[in-house]
Amino acid sequence: MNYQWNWGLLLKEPYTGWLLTGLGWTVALSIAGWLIALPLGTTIGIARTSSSRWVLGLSGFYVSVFRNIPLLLQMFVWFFVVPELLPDKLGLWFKRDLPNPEFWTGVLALAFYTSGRLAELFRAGLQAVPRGQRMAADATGMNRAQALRYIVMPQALRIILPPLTSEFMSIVKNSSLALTIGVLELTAQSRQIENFTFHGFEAFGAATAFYVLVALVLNLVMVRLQRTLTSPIAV
Amino acid sequence: MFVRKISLLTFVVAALLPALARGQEADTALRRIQQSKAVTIGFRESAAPFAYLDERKQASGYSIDICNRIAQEIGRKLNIPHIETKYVPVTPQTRIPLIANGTVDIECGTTVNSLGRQEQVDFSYAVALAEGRLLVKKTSGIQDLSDLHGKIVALAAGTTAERYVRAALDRNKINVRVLQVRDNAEGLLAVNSQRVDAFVNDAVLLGGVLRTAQNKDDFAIVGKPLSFEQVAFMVGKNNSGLLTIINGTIARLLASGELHRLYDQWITPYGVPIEGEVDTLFKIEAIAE
Repeated sequence: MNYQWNWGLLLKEPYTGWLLTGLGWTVALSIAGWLIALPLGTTIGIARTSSSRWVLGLSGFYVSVFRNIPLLLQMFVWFFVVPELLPDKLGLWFKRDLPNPEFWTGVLALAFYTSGRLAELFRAGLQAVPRGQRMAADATGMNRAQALRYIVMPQALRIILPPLTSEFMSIVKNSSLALTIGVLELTAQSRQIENFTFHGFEAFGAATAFYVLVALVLNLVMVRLQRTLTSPIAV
Repeated sequence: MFVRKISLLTFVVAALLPALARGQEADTALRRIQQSKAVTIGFRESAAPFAYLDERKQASGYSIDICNRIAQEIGRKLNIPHIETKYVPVTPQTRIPLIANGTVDIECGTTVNSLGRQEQVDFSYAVALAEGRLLVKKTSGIQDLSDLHGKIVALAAGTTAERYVRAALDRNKINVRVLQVRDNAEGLLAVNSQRVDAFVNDAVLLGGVLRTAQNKDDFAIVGKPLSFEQVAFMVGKNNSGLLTIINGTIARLLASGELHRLYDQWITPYGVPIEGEVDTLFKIEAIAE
């Protein structure tokens, strides 16, 4: 292969700085997206186990919209379509005056997409808790909210913790799609380095290493969390 | 466990790397052409008027026309009577890997020559100049870079605009926010939807994308050129034999005036005629026999 390798390039300015700011944006996108997706997903997930047909139908619609439409398309809709549908002033603010509009648009797209997936995860987790637990809570005089808060949810959370970890890892990797709407995250920065130096293999190699590193750290944290949260009784 | 995983991964990667970096032989592209009796040209599918797919899905454009003549010249030099020309589409992301692994012999698109890039590939003589200018809405009243203070500017990913725009802005102490867009069509869209106030790119490419706009009278291409960058063809490193043929063909096309004719046919209608710097460039490059 006729390729001039130069790994030292990655340690030169401005390229090191580009990669590190890219990593920063990737982490920021993932965390901000997650902080919105988790409460939203939990709420919709609980709604998915409701006995009301209306609530069930609406939450089912929410999940099928945000989970079934490709994330890339959702990014484009949030970025290109939504601002045009808003009233003129608000649309302009969304496009221009909001600090870092690309970033927040990316966060929104990531958050809604992930919340759809999380909702299904929570629904499955809640339904996996044996029915007897709910009945026992009823028998002690707890109302539905109390039963959910004190009996069902703590057990469901423990069940879904491993798939929750992989959802978090997914959001980190999915955040790379934000480059299509102009967020200069890790993948976008390595493209930029490739474009300036034509040393793309090195740049993308470094980005890969950073993604693996983030995933490993996350894995480590979640394994610790899982150990401390292990339920003393088998569910 | 964590440390072990990391060290295992590092070990695997380190073990694989030397396999990728083998010694380089000279003029591999010419030998490849000799064996296959075909020149493989890498072209851009949507970089009109330099290289694009026309209505009949054929590679077409200014760069393609020149490269076809180069391919004929290679055939004459290597004594291959009916040399075949193959076209492989490339993107800014795939052009380097495809040249590195020998899929593409010559890249004929809108690639800009720079010293950083020359560490990886070699460039031919320039066939055009990329002049960075501003695409704006007429109603915005923006005339030049200095009007952009406090405004938002779009730059296309995969171009070198970022560097010269930043330099020009720093030089003039102008403060703007930059948005990266994926391509020229999206740059136009960003200006049209008032997401940005100006889109900076090569004037010829701006003219090209403006032709596709429905409300083209609402826009203007303004400002003094922010840069003069050389648009050139690209070959892999250590291909001096091939590069000599390419450069020789360009010089002879310039001397005979044929390149001027191609330029007038393809590029001049986009608002960048052969005058000023382009004229000088063409005179300098028409090296005598």
